[in-house]
Amino acid sequence: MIRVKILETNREAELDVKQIIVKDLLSILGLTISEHIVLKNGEVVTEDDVVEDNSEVVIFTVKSGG
Amino acid sequence: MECRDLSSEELERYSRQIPVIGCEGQLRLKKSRILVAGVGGLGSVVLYYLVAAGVGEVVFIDDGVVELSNLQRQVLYTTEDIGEPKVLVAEKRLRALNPHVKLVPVKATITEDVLEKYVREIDVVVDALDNWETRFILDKVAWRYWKPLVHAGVGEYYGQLTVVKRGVTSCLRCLFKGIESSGRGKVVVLATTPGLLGLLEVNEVFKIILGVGEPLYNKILVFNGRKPSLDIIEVKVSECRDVCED
Repeated sequence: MIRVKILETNREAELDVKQIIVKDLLSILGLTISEHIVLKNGEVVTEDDVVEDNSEVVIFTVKSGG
Repeated sequence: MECRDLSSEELERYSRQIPVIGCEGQLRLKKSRILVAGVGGLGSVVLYYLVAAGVGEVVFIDDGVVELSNLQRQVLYTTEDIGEPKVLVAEKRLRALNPHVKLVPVKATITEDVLEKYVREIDVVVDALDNWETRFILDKVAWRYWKPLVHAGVGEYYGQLTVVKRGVTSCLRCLFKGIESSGRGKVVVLATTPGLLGLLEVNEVFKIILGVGEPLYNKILVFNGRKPSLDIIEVKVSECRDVCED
């Protein structure tokens, strides 16, 4: 089970998979990697990294404007 | 350091702040040198409060001119300033606000060469930019000289804030390594969002200069103005030597 929290919408989800690639996870959630930071157990991961079973994932939008 | 090192005018000007930070704190601010990259929505607020509070010197860099669409959020400028270089208008407003502060306006595109001239003499670098490409240049130079970099980014109702410092955190390029760095779209943002995040950036600068509290090292503050909420996310330090120390 992989637990995911999306801060922007305060949405929480549980994925019943053993592992998943970050870009596939974002795709399932309808999010784009270019605008989001993904933390796996507190560590920043990128689109080709793998999220394993029992991981806690936090996703938040990053903004570029000033 | 004593209160006698401040003039009677300064003691009166900062009289609502000195009871909080002491004369020693006020003198620390007075001796501090801050670089602000970008003088837009974030930078307007950052500069205003740094100067009001009595830092010693601010270097501010921007190559833009004031546009009508800036005025909804860039509070240093007025309708009469349209077409004028931002850094020069900012200098005029800030000098009127607090003549004790040394102002160094730099009208230039922010490049590694430009930053090299200023960053090594600076205590804290503030990211008030509007694109990742320039942010990562700023991060590179701040990292090179071991200077703390206060980062914020805003859009719509949202913003994020963190502080990076070599030896303590990962660099910005590592922390935000998945983010697409190219592209400079128009900023679309509610007026209050850069104001709030800019103030939080100044608060981080003060904590660093004064040596009080806990700067946002290895933490990212995520602001959502629609809820409203502030989430503080803890981030583990990554090595990222290939990214940070190139």
